[in-house]
Amino acid sequence: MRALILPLSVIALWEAVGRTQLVQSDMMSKPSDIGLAGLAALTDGSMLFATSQTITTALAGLLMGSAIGISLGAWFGLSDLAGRLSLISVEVFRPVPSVALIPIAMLVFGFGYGMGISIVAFACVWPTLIVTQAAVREVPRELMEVARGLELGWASRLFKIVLPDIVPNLFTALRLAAGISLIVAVTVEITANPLGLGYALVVAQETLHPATMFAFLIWIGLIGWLLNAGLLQAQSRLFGRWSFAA
Amino acid sequence: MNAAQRSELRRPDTVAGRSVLLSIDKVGLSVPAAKGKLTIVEDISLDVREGEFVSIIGGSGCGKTTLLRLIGGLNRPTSGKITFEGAEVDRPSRKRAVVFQDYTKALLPWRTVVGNIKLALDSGGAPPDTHAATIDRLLHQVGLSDAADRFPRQLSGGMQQRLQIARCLALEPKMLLMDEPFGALDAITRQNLQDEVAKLAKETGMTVLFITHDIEEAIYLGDRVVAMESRPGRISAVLDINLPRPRDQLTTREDERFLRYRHELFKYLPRAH
Repeated sequence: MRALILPLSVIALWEAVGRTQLVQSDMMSKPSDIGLAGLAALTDGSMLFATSQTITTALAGLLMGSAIGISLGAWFGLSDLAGRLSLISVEVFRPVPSVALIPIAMLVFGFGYGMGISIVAFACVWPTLIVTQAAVREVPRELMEVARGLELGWASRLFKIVLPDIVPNLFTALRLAAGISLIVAVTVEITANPLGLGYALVVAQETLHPATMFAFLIWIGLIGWLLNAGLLQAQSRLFGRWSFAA
Repeated sequence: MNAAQRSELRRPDTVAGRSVLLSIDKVGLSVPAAKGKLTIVEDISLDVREGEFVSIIGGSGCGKTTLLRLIGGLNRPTSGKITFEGAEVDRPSRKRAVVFQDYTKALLPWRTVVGNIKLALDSGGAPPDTHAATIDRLLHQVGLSDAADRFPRQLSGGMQQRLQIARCLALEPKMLLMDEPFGALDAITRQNLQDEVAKLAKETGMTVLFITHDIEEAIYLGDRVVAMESRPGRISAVLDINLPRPRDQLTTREDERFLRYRHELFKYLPRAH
């Protein structure tokens, strides 16, 4: 509870300054105005609709990107040859800022979900690929040799030995990518795509509705926080007992 | 080897006349090193007959584990040839099951005792409806019937090693390769497991290659003891063990022959100077 003292006092001070009109600014809004604007946006459905658009983009991109990242990571981790051959390509493509792909994605997909989803997917490939590849390499040598001794085929080796062993790492990778997916989805909406929360934020700003803009900003922060807290909770529920002391 | 040692090279009656299952012919393994190459094992020749229990002893770093890995097909030799049932060993096989020293890493921690054994059964050719009966039999054989639904981390070290042995037995291998399987266990658990492995070997007729750094364990279990020397790893002596079976932790170890073998083999092990 004590942790709330500072933020609450800041909000109170902000409200007081706003009410005394000591500072004049087009972009300043009192916390009470922001609350009212947020309530209005919530009740007229615009905020929820924008949220559903952003979440759809983030989630679809996350699923596609991590499916690609996990598959490639498992492949590069299991095959020394593939791992070595991919090294340069991964190191060349990984540092490309995902938002730098906006112009290309716009040319290919035009405005709409395709553009946002593809960029989010690109951003999600790298953390999942790298975490998966590293985790696969950490699978105990004995387990891999047990698999060889049982003469398991590659599919059994992957699904019965490797994947179960790295599930906790996969979830960590997914959690990393989920955070990234929301950031990238909103960024694409702010910079280019007329969809979702990012676009709503820009519209509010450009039409000089600072209270609405702040309301969306806080809402986005809240979603990000909820997403991470939910995934953390799920992780400790699912895998709290998964870590095995060697 | 001098003439006196050679005279000990009579095969025990239990395996006389049986066919050679595993043949190791002038096998060596070298790996590239900073200066030229490093020879891990060199010029190893040994025949193992069907149903034989062969113990291999040597100090740490003498290449005994390497030799086991070569026989298991986990590594390929750089010289010489290993043949098993007449065919060259070039990869691991279900016929040569390996019991790893570190059971904590060799078991699947996310599978129960039954699940770990199922892994071996599912990958084999036996019809799935026979699995339940096989699992019951194996659990009974290794004394884990009461722990069927437990996870490896809920088992003691001895029980985990029993589970690993059961999983290997599920393959119905011709040969069991055991790499210092009891090295991490306490003395009492160790003695119990020695007797259980001896009993299993007798019941199944399996050929066993047993690596240990414990002379007494090697003699107690083996029909033959192979002593290895270090750097490079080479066979320094092969001793036939003519002790009656079933062996007994008390009387066998007090047997005058047991002590003589111990005395004999002691010469071949490295000592601190």
